[in-house]
Amino acid sequence: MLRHALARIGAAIPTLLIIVALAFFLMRLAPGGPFDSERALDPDIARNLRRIYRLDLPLIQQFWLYLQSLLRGDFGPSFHWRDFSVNELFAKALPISMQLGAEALLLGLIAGGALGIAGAASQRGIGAALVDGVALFGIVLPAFVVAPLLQLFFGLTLHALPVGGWSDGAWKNQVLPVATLALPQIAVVAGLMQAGMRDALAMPHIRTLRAFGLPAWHINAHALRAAILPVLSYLGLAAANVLTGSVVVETIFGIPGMGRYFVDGALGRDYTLVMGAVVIVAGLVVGFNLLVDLAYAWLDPRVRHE
Amino acid sequence: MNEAFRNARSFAERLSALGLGAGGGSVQISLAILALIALLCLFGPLVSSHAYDRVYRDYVLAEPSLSAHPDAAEVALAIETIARRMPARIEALRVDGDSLHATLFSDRPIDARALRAFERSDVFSAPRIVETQDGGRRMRIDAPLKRTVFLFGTDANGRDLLTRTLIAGRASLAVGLLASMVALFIGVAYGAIAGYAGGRVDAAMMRIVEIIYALPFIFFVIVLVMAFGRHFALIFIAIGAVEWLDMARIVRGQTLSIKRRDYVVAAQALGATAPAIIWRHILPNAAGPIVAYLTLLVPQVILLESFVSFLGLGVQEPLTSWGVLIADGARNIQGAAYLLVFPAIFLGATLGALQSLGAGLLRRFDAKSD
Amino acid sequence: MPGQEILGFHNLCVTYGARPVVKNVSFALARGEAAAIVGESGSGKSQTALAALRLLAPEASTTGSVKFEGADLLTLPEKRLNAIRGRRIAMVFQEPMSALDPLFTVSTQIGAILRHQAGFSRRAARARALDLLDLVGIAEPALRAHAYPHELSGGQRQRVAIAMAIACGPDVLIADEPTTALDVTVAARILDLLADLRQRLGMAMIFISHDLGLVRRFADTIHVMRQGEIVESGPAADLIAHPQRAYTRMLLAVAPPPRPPRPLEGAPEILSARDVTVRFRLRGGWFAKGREIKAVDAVSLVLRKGRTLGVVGESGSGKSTLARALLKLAPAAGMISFEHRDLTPLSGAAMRPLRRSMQLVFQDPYGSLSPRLRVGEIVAEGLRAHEPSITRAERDAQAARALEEVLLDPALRHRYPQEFSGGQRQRIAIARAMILKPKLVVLDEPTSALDRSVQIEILALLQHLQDAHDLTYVFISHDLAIVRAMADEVAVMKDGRIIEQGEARRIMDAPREAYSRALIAATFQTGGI
Repeated sequence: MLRHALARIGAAIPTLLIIVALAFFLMRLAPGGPFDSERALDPDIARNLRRIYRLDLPLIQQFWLYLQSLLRGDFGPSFHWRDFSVNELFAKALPISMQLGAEALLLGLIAGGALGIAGAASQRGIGAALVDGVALFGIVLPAFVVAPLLQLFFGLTLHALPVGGWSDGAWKNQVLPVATLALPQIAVVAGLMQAGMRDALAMPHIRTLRAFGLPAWHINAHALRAAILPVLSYLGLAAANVLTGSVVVETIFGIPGMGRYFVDGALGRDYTLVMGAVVIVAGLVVGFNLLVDLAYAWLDPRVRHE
Repeated sequence: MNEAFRNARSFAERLSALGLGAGGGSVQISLAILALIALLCLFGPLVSSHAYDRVYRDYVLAEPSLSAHPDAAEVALAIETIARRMPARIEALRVDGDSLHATLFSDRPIDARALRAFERSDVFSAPRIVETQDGGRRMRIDAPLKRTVFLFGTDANGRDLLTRTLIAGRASLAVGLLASMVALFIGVAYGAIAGYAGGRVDAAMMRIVEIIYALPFIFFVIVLVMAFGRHFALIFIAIGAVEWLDMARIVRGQTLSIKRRDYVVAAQALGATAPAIIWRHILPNAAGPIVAYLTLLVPQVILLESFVSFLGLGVQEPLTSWGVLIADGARNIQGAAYLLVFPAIFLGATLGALQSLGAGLLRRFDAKSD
Repeated sequence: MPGQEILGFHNLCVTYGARPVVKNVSFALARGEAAAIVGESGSGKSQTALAALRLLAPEASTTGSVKFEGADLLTLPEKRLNAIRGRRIAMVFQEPMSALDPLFTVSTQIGAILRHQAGFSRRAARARALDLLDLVGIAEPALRAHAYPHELSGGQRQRVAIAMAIACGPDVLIADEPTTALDVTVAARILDLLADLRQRLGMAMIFISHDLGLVRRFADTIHVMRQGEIVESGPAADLIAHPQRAYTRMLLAVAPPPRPPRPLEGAPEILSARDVTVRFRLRGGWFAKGREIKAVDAVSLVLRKGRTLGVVGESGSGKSTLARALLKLAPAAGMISFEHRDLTPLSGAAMRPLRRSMQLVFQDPYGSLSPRLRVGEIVAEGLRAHEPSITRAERDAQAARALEEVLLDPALRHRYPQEFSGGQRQRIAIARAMILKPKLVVLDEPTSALDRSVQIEILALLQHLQDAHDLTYVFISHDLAIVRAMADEVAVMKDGRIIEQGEARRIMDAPREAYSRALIAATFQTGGI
């Protein structure tokens, strides 16, 4: 198991390195620069700016410098918000996005899992139809449709919840964004769980348990363990989806998270800001996949064995 | 390679086979819905009496309605606006059937050229001067009303939402189909080569796929926005660059399993070349799942395009897509929720129909292969 | 064997929708009796057994009754049924891999039964599980108890499944094809174990099998099932000696006769292999080192024109890999020469022209024909590669002739392979190999997926083609009875090596190696197949 974990971690590091390199060079090779938008910039000032931000060095050297500062945990100064470093900007935004994403993922898992098990238990009755309905719902209603509708209903009509804002994470401000983010995850997890439980209950080794007259809860526990595996496989993808979705949700609900740095940073060609965001997100996705891998190996001895 | 990755095929199968639209009729129903939406988007704008970029200044944010505009209040408002500009007072006003009878009075003689304001308005056609009195200071005019219907209402710029929704559908469907084709070709070629070559080549190629997977989709959009500006083409490239990954994994998985089949080994033993084997044996036998996943790919692509456009990075005004319209609706959710609802219905119906079509095809395919 | 009835089937019927799979099955099992239900796949024999413990899929419906000590198992409340399942009636399934939960250790799975059904404490269950593992003949039970099913061999898994079945000392043991998924030598040992346990524990047993020869060794009574009905029942000795029904006689069909020895007559050498080794590397990660498995280990052989070399071995012995390696379809070390030409240095492209002289026929007639191509196209495939210049019409004509040669109607070449039976498909596969007029044909278990009667037809066809075209065969099979009917020489493979090689008759009559003897004993003691 330890060996398996080490192998996985060893494989994740080069992956991350390649992502950073890819992001860095792709972005730099794109035409235009961070100071293009300010018209009539004095050539001397422009040269100075470029020197201060070390844009005058050869690209490979810039990359090397960037990697070094990255290893020190320094994302560099923001080009757009000149008074802030990227670290300072992220220090405020990242916890908010992380909290939002973690809550949505957790809600998706718990609600989706419960729904899926209920659906599988009721064979082909109302429960199964409900799960199918939720699954379809989650697919045909993307976040940017759900969010305004929730705002309209709970905020503008019922006046029960605020339409937007963060208010330092007051629970009322979190309800709608978390629900919006979680809805598609609930849909997918419920579907996976239902299908997984049904598949598991039809497996020959479950028949063996029945043949030996073991109690229903024991049989269901065995089936559940098998049914969790596909859900676990999906989690890595779910994390990436939640991260992408949070950009929309943060925009609509006016939440000061990481999302806006992506869009603003891209439009303003704020290299360090976008790079920082990419590194953080890629790191999260890779790290999360790693955790999923290890959890999978812990649950499924066949993987450990390989 | 991580586990999520290794289980991709079975996972994708489960995900897409979520029991959507139970029963055998779902494929036909989905096809019917899709055909209807496609026909509406293709031919609707041609039939429509409104151009998608025509601005009706007099009908900003008109509510969706079956009855024709203008109503009495809109007529009054329009004539008042015109009169104020002349400037003139309205002495008498009567709407009778399809025309307006009005008497205008001014302190100075009314210049007939000022009546062009009627023609420019969205409410009236060219007026006819019935009578001039008081040396031209009083004027009786008949102005026919322009009858216009806004079934879905108009947006904040006074443009017909129905026409715009259909035009948006063209963009969304076009992106969906074209980007899916891009993803199909890249994915099938990449997956088939990786799967057939196997070994180190396969491991390296799949490692690349895994790395691209870890990059958030938004990153591609951002880099491409930085590179090309906000351009329509970037949507194809960005979406194509992401969505081929799934197809590549599925085709690779199929290829891996098919290439172990005896008929492929038999072809090798007969001396057939690798491209011939891929073309004659592997792809035809993987066609079922490829088609099913292609059907599932299209809604994902449409969704991504909407997402990009929603963020303002995709299709630009005056052209539009469902994502742009929904973003518009989201901004006007207070007071004009229909701006969100109608495009959302079209988007949702398309996504739902494609999804259950794909799931239905996959089910059929699975049932056949069992 | 007269005795008190313990389990009685009365007019049992099982239907799926409108499709009946078991029709009015009635028979009684006495205490301590060993009964066998024998029939081909699809005869309803497994369904009958599963129905007794209500283990059928939810869409199945049953009528009739199955009485256990007077209580009808089909209508008993779930709770009372669960008190019988595992405790009084236990079951062993065909596939030991899928019958065990892959996610739990062996001792956990045995322990769960002991704790729930026999009231053991956790600790006592653990100790008892070790005893049981020992009882079913698993070496080093303390070590194996913590293994997961995938870490065990097929035979060990089946032993674990048997340990689970006897955990509570049941009165009746139902064994559903417990040896079918196993190699013959392993199967023989599992059968011995079952017979031994039955005597020691005094259980009654229902043994389900497709193999009449197999069950006659220990069954007291045999019931022959066909299409959901019991067509013949009786004491084992009587039924074997005097089968009443043609169907039963068919099941008893004997192995084909051995091939008469043919003189060598100095035929030229056509294929020779020296120290052929095929390694599979299991890829490691960044820290885990890759492992290497030798699927074929230093195999040397010589084959003369017009002769048949039989390669026999159990699954995993490397015989199929050897087949591919000889044709350079698997990367192999060592030297292979064909008609005195060294194939070792040849690239894939350089091999291509030679391929028309060396062909391959596979075991599975369903997997070896692409379902997307018409039979005519399949048969003519080799012409596309080797004679690209000939016209479509000429290709088609040649395909028709090739089909005629394997005794198939050439008019059928416009159909898809799905429309043909197993035997017909195998003829198509042979036609595909023959259209190029090869000199060497490697036959990889060409008859293993077929019924006995069809097997014999295909063997006759292969011999006819060999005589007509002076073909050289490498004939690979796990079935010694078939190999004996085809081969002039025999090579016995085990763990990637050829452990014994020589004249077919010599090896059959006087095997030198213990493994060869065990293989021959397991094959012919049970009456073949």
